[in-house]
Amino acid sequence: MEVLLLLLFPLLVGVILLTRDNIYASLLLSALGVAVAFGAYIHLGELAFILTALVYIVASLTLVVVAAATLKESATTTQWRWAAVGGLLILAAAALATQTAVEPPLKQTVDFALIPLISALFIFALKMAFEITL
Amino acid sequence: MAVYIALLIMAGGLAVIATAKSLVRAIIGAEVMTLGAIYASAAARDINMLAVAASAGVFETVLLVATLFKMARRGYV
Repeated sequence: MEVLLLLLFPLLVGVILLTRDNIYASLLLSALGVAVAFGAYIHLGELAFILTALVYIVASLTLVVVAAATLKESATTTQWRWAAVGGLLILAAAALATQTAVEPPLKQTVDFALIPLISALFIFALKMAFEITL
Repeated sequence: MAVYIALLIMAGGLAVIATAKSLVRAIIGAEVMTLGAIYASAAARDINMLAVAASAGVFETVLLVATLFKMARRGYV
């Protein structure tokens, strides 16, 4: 099952690298987030899928709004992109050469003490964000 | 195998940042790298670490977008 992900990730990242439009790139990021969420589901079950997919769809839709707000024409494509795509394909080929077995997904309970801690950090990050923008 | 997939996603994120012509593309690259960290924590089978990595990704997005807006307001973007 992981082999499918191994082929999907370089494909999606490669299309992000090759596209010039930032809005399209943000939508591809949400697709990549759902793909990684599926990978997390293989290892950790449904809760991991929901968590990752939620965070990444929200984050990439935010980026779609930001990209639409800062619309600019981009310049010509750089030569770097092909080198980057080639490097990714080489890494993917190297990883295909090594295969290990994947055990069934593990059920773990989330530590609920994390919730107030993460909320406190999030409020702190939001406060910083307000101070940056204002 | 899972290690290589996490490294692959991180390399992809670095490539997106390196070939970025605009700041929004750089933020997308940072998000892709955080996705690599999320996949690594899933492969390590630790859901608490996954929650922490996902929330770190959220904080990072919030702060980067705030910085982007500040720069746009000042006229640097």
